[in-house]
Amino acid sequence: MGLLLVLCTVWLWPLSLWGQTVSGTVTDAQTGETLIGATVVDMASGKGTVTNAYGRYTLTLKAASADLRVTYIGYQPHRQTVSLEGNSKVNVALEPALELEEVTITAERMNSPKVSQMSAIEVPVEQIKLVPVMFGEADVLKAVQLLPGVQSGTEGTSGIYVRGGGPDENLFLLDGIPLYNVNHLGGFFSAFNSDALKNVTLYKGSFPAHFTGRISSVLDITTNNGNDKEWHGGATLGLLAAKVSVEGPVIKEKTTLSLSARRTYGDLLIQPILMLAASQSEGLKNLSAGYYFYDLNAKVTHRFSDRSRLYGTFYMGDDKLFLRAKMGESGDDSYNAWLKLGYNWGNLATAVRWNYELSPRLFMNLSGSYTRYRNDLSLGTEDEMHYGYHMSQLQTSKIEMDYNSGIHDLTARADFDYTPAPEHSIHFGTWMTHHIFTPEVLGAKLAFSDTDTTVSQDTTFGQSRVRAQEMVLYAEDDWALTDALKINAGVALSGFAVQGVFYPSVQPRLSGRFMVTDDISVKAGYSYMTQYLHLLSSSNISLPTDLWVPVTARIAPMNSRQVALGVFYDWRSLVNFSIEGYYKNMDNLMEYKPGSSFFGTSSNWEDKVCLGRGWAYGVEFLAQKSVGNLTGWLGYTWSRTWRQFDELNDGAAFPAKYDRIHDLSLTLQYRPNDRFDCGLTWVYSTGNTATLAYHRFETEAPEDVYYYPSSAYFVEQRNNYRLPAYHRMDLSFNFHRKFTRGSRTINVSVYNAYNRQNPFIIYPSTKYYSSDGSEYKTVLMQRSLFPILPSVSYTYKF
Amino acid sequence: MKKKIYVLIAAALLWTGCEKEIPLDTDGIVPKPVAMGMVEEGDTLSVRLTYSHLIYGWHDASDSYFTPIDNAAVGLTVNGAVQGVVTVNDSGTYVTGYVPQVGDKIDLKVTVPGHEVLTASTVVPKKPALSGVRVIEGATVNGNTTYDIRFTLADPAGEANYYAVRLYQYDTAMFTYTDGNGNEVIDTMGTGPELMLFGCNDAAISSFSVTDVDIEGGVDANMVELYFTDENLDGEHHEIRLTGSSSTYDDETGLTIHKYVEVEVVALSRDRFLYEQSVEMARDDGDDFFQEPTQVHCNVKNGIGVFAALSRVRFKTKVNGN
Repeated sequence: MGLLLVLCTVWLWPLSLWGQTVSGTVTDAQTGETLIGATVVDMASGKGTVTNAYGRYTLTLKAASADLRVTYIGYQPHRQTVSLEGNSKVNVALEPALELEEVTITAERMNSPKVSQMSAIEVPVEQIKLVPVMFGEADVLKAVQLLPGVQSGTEGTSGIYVRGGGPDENLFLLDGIPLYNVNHLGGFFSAFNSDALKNVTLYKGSFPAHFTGRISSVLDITTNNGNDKEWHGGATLGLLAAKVSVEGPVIKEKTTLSLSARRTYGDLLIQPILMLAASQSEGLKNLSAGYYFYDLNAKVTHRFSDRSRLYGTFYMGDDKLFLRAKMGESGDDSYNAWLKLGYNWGNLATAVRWNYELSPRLFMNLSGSYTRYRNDLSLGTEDEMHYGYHMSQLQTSKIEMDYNSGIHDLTARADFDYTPAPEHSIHFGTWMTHHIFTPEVLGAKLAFSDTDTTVSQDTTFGQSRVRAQEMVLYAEDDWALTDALKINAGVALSGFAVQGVFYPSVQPRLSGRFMVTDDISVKAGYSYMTQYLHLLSSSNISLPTDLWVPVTARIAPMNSRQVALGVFYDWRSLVNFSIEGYYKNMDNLMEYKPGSSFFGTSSNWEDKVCLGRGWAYGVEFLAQKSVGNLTGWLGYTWSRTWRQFDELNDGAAFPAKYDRIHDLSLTLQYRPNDRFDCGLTWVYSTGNTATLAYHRFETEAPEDVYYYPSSAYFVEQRNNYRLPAYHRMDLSFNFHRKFTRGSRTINVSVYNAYNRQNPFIIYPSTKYYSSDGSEYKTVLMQRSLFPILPSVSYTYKF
Repeated sequence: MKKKIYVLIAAALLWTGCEKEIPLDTDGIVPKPVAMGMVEEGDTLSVRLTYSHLIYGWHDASDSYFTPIDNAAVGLTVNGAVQGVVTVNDSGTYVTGYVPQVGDKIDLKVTVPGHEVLTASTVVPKKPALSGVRVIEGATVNGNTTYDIRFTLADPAGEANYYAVRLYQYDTAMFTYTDGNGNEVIDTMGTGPELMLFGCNDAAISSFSVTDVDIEGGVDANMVELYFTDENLDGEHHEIRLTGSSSTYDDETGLTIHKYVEVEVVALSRDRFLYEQSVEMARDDGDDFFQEPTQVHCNVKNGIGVFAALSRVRFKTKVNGN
């Protein structure tokens, strides 16, 4: 890293002789929360910049003074004249805009025509909270699914498929820490508690060089630092889950704490019903079962000085499914049997980051993080039988099976922002991760004991651990060549060492923006991405049974190459319009081989998979309005996604599962006054593809071989059938009321408002029309998952 | 109790209310001609034609599941020479008088009235080069005797080859008895051939297998067929080692048992290999909720079915070589 610093310093030294630097932090005046993406412009020269992920900006100018204008959506603009005698420090605290005021504040958001970044969308957290969703539980991934270029998975789930990529090709960063499984309840909820969120940006292409490790998207989520002036909190009670959050200064304007927690409580409510059922069932003495998930977000921030800050982030989320049943005749203790099932999966992530301003132009962020994902299934039975004279003899038997899979990551990272001149904003850094994978381990324990016999066996199958090291070195420059032309050029060098094999990768990135007029720009981008992880997914549902597996000596890394071209238009600083076209190809995509199953570890997982390639292309349209009483966006995507595997579909190309040609989403939020707001979402998309056999044919068996099927289904092509179109409308209504100390919100949501029956699974079914069964019709049936689902929740904030 | 019933009814209505028939356009879908031609070196060349059975739509008792096609014009060309079809039987089997040889390129052309012309072709693969077959009897455990079976397969270099292995067991019992004339007679009684269960721990040749029994815990001998490619042994003289298993005879006084094992190695055309592999996977479809769907391999253009070739060698040897 020292060498990197020296090289960069030598290379950039001439630039650093240029002009004076003004730097500082932009915060919310009421809470002290740093603001990400606030615009800082010197009105005299027209030079400007935006605040980074820590709310910090640096502007280098060649003038005696600067006329700074600082703006951020939802806040009143701030203007200040600064004398530039030497380097200056200017911290700005923005006042929130008065509610109901027609706000016409601009900012260089990610999807604005002025930034060089393309294929990125920043979704305001307030909009996410207003998007109506199932059971009233605001969900960042459900909101992201409504953006163009992003497909949702199976109905109701949080899985995302970006520009033809798979669900494992998305990098989810929570305060810079990667999370693996971001779903709760089989994917119906995401792991991100909306109360803890501060900023959400989705990158679909033209990735900046500091993002590596996934080939299709990056969802960069920043959580609240916490109010540094006074304590605030809130609690929400919904149909499925309860949430609490609290934030405030531990040491005023020095140290803040932000805590939020969420838990579902259906398992608690169902226990009395199960106990009643057990008491009325023959042969069942006790029954306890249920499912719940919880997550906990905590963040501590300490400001040593204007130049130095320390952040501690902690996230823990788990899903737990359990069943415990005791069987036997009531009043008879001679025989008892127990059945136990436990299924736990979840993430734990923690990080410590230290920001330090080495000089007004050079900002450093050092961090260390630990992530753990686990997926543990245990199943067991136990029998106990008393027999013989006075029941003095005891016979017991016990069978236990455990299935474990998981990942542990330990990462050290150093990032630098260097602003030698207003034309350049340079980011460089390095990181290294030590991975420990446990792709699949199945343990079985058998024990039997009788009066004079004891037998036990303990066996473990599967691959125990794979250790790997991933390292990255990157540098990029956001370079304003002229007032109209700006480029972001960078490169990431990465490597992955596993099982004695080293996979290097050079990943060039380039994007550029040309301002045609003040409001219209044309952007283009190219990015090459490499991914060293695969998700073995055996189902359409994002099940916790999906296995994260590493690249190995036999399994090569995935790569993607993407080009994109777009036109961006900012209409009167009220509505941003964009239209983007893209083409992406991917190689070394992984699928299970036909007939393979994740379950059963008699063979290594590497034998169950095959590698292939994919390509996707499409056009995306987005109109986004982020200011005013009426906000929202309209997104439309036309796209195609293809796959080709030598071992699938006879080697011929076939449409991917989520190849949806048309995808339309409309999201509206209306806030007429401070007592009421409402939201509407309507989505429409071409149906998913499915593999359907229309014919059955007679097979021919080799001689002497028994158990040979006499006939087989004939499938002309994989994914040859398209399900009916998917569409749905969701509504939400929020009723707010302020009290002397605090406020309350009652939320009423309706999921699938017009009760559309969207297909979840399809299957053939036979209907008989004669009593002897001789006349029948085989039809294709669909089963839907969610009918109209109204819900209500109550939130109190202080 | 009433409350429970109401809750159950409500839950059932909610669930079944989420189920409905999807309109499926099957107007243009008619039964397709199916051509199954399992060409074997040394066996008469034939092909069987049937119609496929439509899965969706109306059916009644008069439906024949797989109707034979007896009005097709079948053209079989061997190395460019047309072979005349001699017989058409009731099952839709079209037989020629030709016996395929190694290296023959055989083209199939089937014209069924009302359908596009079906075409397919195959080449009869070389016979596997087998040597050094030996079988050694091993331990007897729980009434099963194990056998260490080894042979060498010489794989032709530079070409993709596909193989299958089966084992057959023969037992000959020699015994003596006294006939009606008081003479002592030595006689023999034979069993077999019977498919022998076997296992294989050679990572270079394992591809997929047809299993007879599924026993958890990695039992060594549960295959009746083993299929593999030469991907990991191209051009090699590869010794293949198998572990056979069979029930042990109860010893009876006066019986002398001679045991024989026959090793059969089949060279398959690629289409035949893929067909066998996919049919084997389809056999297991539905047993496991997490199992990926399979697609049975077909190579008949404009129709369904497989037209593919094989050639086989068998080598019978006495156990322990005595």
